[in-house]
Amino acid sequence: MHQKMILVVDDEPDFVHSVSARLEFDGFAVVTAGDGITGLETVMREHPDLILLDIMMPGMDGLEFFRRLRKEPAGATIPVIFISVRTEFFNDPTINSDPRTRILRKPFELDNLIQMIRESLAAAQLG
Amino acid sequence: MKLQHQSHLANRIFLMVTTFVAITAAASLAISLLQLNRTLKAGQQQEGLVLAGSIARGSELGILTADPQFLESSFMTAAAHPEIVFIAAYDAHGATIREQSRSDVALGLSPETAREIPRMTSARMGAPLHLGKNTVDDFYAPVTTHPGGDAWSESLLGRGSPGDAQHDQVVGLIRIGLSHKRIVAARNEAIASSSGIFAAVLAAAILLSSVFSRRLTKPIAKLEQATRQISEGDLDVELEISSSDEVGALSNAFNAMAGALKQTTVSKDYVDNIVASMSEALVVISADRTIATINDAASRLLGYGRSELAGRSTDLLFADANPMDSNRWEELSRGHVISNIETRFRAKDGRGISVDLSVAPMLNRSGKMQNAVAVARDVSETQRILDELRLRTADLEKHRIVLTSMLEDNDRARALAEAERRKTQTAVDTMSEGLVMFGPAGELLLINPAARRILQMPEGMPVDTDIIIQALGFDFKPFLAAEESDRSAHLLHDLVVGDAVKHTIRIEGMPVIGAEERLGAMLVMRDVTRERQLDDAKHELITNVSHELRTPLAAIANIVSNALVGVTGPVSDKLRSHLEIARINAKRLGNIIDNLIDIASLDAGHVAIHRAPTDFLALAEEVARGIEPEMSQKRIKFDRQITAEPTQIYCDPIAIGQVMRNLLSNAVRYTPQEGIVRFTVERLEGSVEVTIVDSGVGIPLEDQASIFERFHQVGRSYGPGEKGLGLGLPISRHLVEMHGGSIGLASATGRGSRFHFRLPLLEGEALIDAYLSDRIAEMAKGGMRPFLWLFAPRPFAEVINEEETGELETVMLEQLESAVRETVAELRSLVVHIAPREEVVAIVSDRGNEAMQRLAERIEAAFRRFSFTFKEHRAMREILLAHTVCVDPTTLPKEYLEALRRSVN
Repeated sequence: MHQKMILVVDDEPDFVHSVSARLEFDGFAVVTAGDGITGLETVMREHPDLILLDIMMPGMDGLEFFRRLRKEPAGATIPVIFISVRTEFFNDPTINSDPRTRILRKPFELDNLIQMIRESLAAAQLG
Repeated sequence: MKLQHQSHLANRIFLMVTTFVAITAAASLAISLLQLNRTLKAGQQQEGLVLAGSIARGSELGILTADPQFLESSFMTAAAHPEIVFIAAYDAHGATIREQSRSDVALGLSPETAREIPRMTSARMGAPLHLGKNTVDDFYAPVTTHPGGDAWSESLLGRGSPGDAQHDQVVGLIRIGLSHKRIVAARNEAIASSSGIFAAVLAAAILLSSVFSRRLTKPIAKLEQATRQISEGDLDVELEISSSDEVGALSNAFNAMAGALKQTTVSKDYVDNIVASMSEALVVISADRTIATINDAASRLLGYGRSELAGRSTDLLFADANPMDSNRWEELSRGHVISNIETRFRAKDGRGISVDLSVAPMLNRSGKMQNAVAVARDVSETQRILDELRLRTADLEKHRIVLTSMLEDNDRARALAEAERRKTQTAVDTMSEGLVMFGPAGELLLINPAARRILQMPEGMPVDTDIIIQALGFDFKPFLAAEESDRSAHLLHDLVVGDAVKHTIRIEGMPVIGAEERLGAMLVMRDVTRERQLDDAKHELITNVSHELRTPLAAIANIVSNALVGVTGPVSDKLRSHLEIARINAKRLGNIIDNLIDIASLDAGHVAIHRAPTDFLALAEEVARGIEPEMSQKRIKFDRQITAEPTQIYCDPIAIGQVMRNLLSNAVRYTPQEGIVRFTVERLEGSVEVTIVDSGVGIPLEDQASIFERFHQVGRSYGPGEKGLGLGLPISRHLVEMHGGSIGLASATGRGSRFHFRLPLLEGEALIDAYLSDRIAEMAKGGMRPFLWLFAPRPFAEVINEEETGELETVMLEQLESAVRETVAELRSLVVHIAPREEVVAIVSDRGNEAMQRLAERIEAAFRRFSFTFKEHRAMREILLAHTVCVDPTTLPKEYLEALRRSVN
């Protein structure tokens, strides 16, 4: 099976590091970005299979990143898992009206994250 | 008594019959005995005469010869005859020739007899001789001689003639004594046999008369008994008619009489019952003014036994003079009635009893008094009450005097009360809190100046309950009518007022309870803007701190988790146990932070829900999946019963997901290893119910009421030692109630708990109204531009003027809809989720027309039906009243769309 690539967009290096280590351990290819702009560039370059997206980031926040992503042909259908410490963002219709999004509150069990990633990838493959 | 009567009659008949038979039998017996005697005597006489004659004829030779030896054969004949007591033979001169006797008797002939001898022609009987007890008949027969002829046979045939007698010469006389013994014996025998017959006849007579008398008297006895029964009041008597004779006829007549009597007469029992059951004492007085009888009530009243007074003087009844003096008695006997005399009875124990006495005579048909009946009513209690009343009246009079004197101080008291009232009035007028009071029927009693300020109702403006309800935008009537025990009896709401500067007004409602009943209710309005600002600041701080804590916590948790799964290389058992502790504590810290945020949100009123059409089953499944690892860790059997219905629920998926998670993780926390947790989702009538049942430690009854209160954590001392701030359930309740739902529990210590919550299934207009209220609230809170997306359940064409529709309509609708869809996607509107195409309606712009105004009104009316929080309702009203201006439907949609776009950006 082709190794799936996950893009992690988050401004917290320790968090990114801890997540990346686990994803790689579980057999995923991982690319990371510390802010929205870099994240979009990485998408264009790497064409990840799934994006793990923090909402609260300096500069371009996660929601803005997402809007722009969806306008790009390359990013129109990539599954996105929003992660945030603040659940109120999850009410944003931008997230809710898109079928290829999921939400996960920080902190979370890494096992749950892995499971959610696998489900999202499976759903994307079908859809 | 009865028997005696009966036997008297029977005896009499018996005696009569028996006597009659006995006399008859005795008489006939006596007559027959007399007859017998006479017959026997006659026979004896005849026999004696014949015997004497016969002996005389055989003695001719002995007499003629006067030789006793020639008399031997005659005497032998006599001796052979047992009845012949003696025999003697005399010559013509009366001298004894020979005599022989069985008893001592002198047989010498009297001279007269001796002289008669020559003239005797035939045998004759002399006077009977009495020899001791024996009576002997004395017979004489002459002994004659005649030549050739048979003298005795001629004399026997009576052919002898006086001429012949001269011819026959008397030569002597034979005399015999014939004993009566035989006669007596025969007579005795006859008497003896007659006596037997007599005894038999008598016995038969006795028997027959006995039977006869009994037969004759039996029906009479029955009749007599029946009569007695009737006389005793038993009218149900009927005689058996066994014969058709006079007795039968009598019985018939009796039955007829009894029947007639029954129809016309009240039974004695009935009367007795009435008399016995009368509560009034009743005394029956005989004509001689003695007491005949008394009833039970009289017996009770007087203390005498019922029969104790019978025959005693009526004087005994009365404590004072007998009111039935001779004058009164005289009146009574003339038929007058003595009514209602107040007198006093004397009881057996001598105590006087006040009674109200009435006496009535009982007259017979001829108008003569037979009895009098006295009825007495005990009035001693009445008397006592009257006495007491008099006493009380006297008391009252005393009180009245005291009161009158007190009234003189009244003016002073009134002045004090007035001062008190003024003080209260001043306090109410000047207090900074708004105060509104309502009476028990919900009527407005008082509104103070502060309340008028808050409600923006200037002094002098007429106010009533409805106007206040309208001003508050909240119908608190249920609260006004609520019972004291009702939860809604207390009311707490926050209201945001003011245009430029926002003020938060907290309205508290509470019932006003008097000594016993509810006097009404009051609302206290307080400006809590400052407190709210502080709460907001606290919330902000806690939220920020919490979020700042969460980020590093996430990194720590991940690192620990990675180390545990071996990302960083092999892990020794010792290290694993240490890492495990770190993992658990990281998780606990996360929970604490979550709770801190929740509590801060609750305090600040920042808990808000964002309802959207939600796939409820998917939500439940997702939550269930999330909790599964915890379940399997404790090897708990997790039973999911999530039915296919309902699919879509209008709710906040995050909030409801949190509630489900909360209840499930509680269940896991308090259920021991290998227990059971059941998670059920089912559709009910008008609602959906989520139930979580566990086999855990249960919740003591005393804790169940407070378990939904803040900081109450049951299970701290019962559970396996897991700790928390105890905020999960209060927050869950808050979230569920914000959905218009309810949450509850049933639990028994040691047997587990059952938590459930229900959410209303919103459909049709209710759903649309819920959408509207949510969106409007969001817009108001977010300070957005006052544009409204209105959805009506009716087709567009019905809402706008007909002349303004027409062929433009279809095109316009399509354009409108697509415009709306496009725009709302950016405006977080809900149009995309809702309703068939033809029901999508309208948009508000800055120019109005009538149709849209009507639509706005209609929608406002719809809003009013639903219960919103003050804030939301108020905000909605503001928007509608101040900014609902409608798009002119003829305006090009393009322009309208542009206007929308501009407003958004």
